[in-house]
Amino acid sequence: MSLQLKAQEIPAPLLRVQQKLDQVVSAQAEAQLTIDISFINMPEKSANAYYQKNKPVRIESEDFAFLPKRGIDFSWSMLFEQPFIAVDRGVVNIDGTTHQQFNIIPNSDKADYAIMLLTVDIINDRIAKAEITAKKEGSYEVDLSYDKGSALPERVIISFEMEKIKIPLNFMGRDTDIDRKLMKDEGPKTGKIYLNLNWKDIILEVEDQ
Amino acid sequence: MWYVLQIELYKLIRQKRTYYGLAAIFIIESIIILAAYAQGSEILSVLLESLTERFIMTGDLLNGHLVMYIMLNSLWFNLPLIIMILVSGFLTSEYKDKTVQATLLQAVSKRDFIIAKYLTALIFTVFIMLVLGLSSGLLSYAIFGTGDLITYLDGLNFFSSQDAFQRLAFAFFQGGLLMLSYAIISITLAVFFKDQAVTWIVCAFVLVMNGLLVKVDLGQLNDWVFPKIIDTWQYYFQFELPSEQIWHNSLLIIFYSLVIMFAGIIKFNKTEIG
Repeated sequence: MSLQLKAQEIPAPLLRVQQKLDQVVSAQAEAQLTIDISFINMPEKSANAYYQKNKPVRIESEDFAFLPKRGIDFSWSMLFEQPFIAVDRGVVNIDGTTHQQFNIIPNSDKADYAIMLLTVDIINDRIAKAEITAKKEGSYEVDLSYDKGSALPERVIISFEMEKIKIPLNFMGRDTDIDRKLMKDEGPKTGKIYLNLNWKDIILEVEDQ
Repeated sequence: MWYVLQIELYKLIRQKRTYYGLAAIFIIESIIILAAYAQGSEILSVLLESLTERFIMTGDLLNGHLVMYIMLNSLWFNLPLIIMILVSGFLTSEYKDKTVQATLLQAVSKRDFIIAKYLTALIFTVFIMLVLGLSSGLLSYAIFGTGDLITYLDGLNFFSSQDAFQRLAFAFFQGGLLMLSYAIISITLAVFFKDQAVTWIVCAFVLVMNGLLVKVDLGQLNDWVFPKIIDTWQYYFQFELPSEQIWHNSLLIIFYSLVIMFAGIIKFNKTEIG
């Protein structure tokens, strides 16, 4: 049976996730970024990731890199900043660990997602997976893996669908014109971004005695 | 032989058309750099438009490597045309001015004369490629700097700056091999057609046909006919380098060049001059 909650009544597992994340004030990570999109060939890229409490992670790279716009909000500010309704979808067992799933429906127009399915590791109080339908950018999935005890993920896989493009790039030789109609010549393709994060300089909140 | 070659090189240095050719190459180079400067960012933004929904992009793709890659695209038609017109003129102008007869009346064999023509054509082409490579490299990297290279061949390919530099250098050498081949073809066409205008038209025809046939699927002949291997320099911009295919095509270009050169030498030796 599902339970509809008021905005203030965040389910206990999600509250524990929030409390665990709130302990981390800031952190930095060396990030290795790999893109798996059928029509893009790119070597692995190095970047730096900067985490700050209640803010989406900022990733910077000195090289040219495609940095994901979505799926790197490890503080889950998009979830916790706006009121929402959580619908309990029950307990599932993943790799021997008990997880609880919630459908999250935003209760505010300011939220930039329409609905999300969260899978929460209720033993370690961490979000293991999110399937998010955004209002503008379509849907995407985020799979998160953690080191023991860590609040921040060490390995993140962001999956999404995107249109294939096809453009001649001989733009000073033959085929100079870029035909925009050709750009979307095939159906959507699944893309994945693999992000490996090596967190360091983690500053934890000091509790008042 | 060495003496004949020296004379041919001296003629090359003294001829005005040599410098017209160099000027034409510099003008094309300048237009490409100016166009890249003016339109490069816009073209890249169109190219990557559909990716901006999902990604934030860092770094600048409009850099010297990309300009050099665009410059390499002049290997399709512009540069070969200039080389073929200039090189075929080495012989057709001598037919026109009747200096072939004058030279051969002296103690110069037909074989030495025509081989010297081929060697001069090859030396001139190497010089042109070196001038083009060095000048375009200096200008491109001085104005646009370095960075990752983006190409579109069966998808979007990105190469790190160091990798891009190596690929561009190899592609330039590969393109140079093709230009040497075109230089040999030019002299051979000049041997067969003699007349300057006719030879130029045939040179242009060869380039246009190559340009058309490179896009046509010729089945099992794809790996063997000359027009299908003129794009070998582009293989360096595929993400997985097809090394075997590059070697195969390079050897084939050399083989075709030698065959065409021998055909020219034999034809010239058999032709009655004057």
